[in-house]
Amino acid sequence: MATTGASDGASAAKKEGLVTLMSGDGEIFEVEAAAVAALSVTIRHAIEEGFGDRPIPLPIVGARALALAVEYCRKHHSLGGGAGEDSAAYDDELRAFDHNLAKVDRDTLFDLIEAANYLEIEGLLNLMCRTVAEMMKGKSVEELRRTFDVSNDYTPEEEEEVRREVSWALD
Amino acid sequence: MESRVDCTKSHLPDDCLLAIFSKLQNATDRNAFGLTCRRWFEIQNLSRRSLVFHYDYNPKVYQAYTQYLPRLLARFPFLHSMSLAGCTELADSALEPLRNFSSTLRSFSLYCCFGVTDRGLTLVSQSCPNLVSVTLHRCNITDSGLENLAYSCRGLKNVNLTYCLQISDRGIGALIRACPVIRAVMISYCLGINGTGFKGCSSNLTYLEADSCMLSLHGLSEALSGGGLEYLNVSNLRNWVGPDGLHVIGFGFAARLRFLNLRMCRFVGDSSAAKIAEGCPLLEEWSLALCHEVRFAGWLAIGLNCNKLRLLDVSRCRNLCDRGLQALRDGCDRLEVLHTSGCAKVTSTGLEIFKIMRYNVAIRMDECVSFGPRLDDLFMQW
Repeated sequence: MATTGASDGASAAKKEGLVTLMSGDGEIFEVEAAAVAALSVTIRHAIEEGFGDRPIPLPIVGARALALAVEYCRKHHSLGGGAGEDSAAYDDELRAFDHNLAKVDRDTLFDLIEAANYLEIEGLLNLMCRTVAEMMKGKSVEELRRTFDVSNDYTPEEEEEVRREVSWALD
Repeated sequence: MESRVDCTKSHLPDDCLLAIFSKLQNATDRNAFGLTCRRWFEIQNLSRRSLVFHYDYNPKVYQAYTQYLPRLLARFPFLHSMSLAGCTELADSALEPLRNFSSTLRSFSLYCCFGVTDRGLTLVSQSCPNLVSVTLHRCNITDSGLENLAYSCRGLKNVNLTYCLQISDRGIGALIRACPVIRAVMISYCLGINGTGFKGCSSNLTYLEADSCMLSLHGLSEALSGGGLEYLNVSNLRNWVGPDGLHVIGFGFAARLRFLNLRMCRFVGDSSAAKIAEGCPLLEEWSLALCHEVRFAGWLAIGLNCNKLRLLDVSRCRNLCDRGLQALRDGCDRLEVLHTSGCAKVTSTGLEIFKIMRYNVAIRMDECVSFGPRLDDLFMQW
């Protein structure tokens, strides 16, 4: 990540409390610093390192995923103070919000996982990974390949061997 | 590399796939994931933390395991726990592949691997310096093997040596000296140990399981000397230490003791029971089953002093009578469970009065079978 550069305190002061983010495809987002910094470790570090009012570049995060991630941070910051799912602050409203956020198509889901991973938003990463795991649950190998658009690159012999080995080594 | 790019359209980096994989709850789902394509198989392998081989009555199956071991070790580079439990015919040479394996192993079980000797144990010790828990129940090892283990794996916390008949206090001494954080030692049925090897043990020593052992009075004092023991099982102590012998438990070094099993220590008398009751104020569970020499004075001291006691087993104590039961009833304020099977001198009236006066104490007409924490669980933590 490109993170160096001196902060420009004077100009930062104009838009107090806001931070500018730039998605990988060049879109600019102006968001409340407190909300994103509370939930995203990556952005918190970037702010601490002093980007001033220059946009923080987030090269691998697309605009759509970034918008959703920011929305997640805002909601969780304002309602739950950024606390995790185990805390008392994780109430019905947040639960419903998370539930709705997870109702996106597969590709968006994957984009969000990558974004949450890059931005280090633990709650969002967990939520989305759990959603994908839920989609995988009970599916056969063929169904998995179809659902997730995975092409089978095993030779029949290899696949047979892997099947045999998993049958006796337990975890 | 070609396949890594081609197999999915939505190409997630490895750490994201690992995060998804970690949410899969059961083995069927995890195996289906791995069978989907080569890259996902790789993710499954990287996530693998534990390798346990199935028990099998057919010895040929173990030969197959041995044959596959090198491949499995290469395939799962981040294993934390491995169990060869029950591979009774496994030879030392089968452990040879561990040498070429940069080891992340924290827990290793050779439970009932009768064929494993000092050579095999030394191989494991040198290949896995980060071991925290080792199970060697019924392995064919001696003090030399144990010494090698202790000096190679300085971070050892839990060691199960039950039924290792060739181990003596020399081996235990090495363990105590070389592994300062040792926490749980299981030496049940190790008839070659009298306990003097525990000399100099630290307060980290918290659990000692020594069922049917030959501990001497001096040896027992050494084992207690660290002052950290919370769990002590010396049931069926085979070395007659006399009616006052177990006094030593009450001398202050065992002040942190919470679980004490003296089942079948038939010689324990009133003075020992009283001294323990006074000296171990934190006792929560205590078995005195078949301790025939505990009489009224003993029960009285227990009733008066054991204010934290939740469970007491007095099954088949010949010298517990209604008066003794009353002494327990009048004290032991926190008692929840009392095992009283086969107490011949307790009358049904005595027992009924107990039930009325202490209606929230469960009376069990059997001996206590699960006593204290499950030590096996410690061996699965790392």
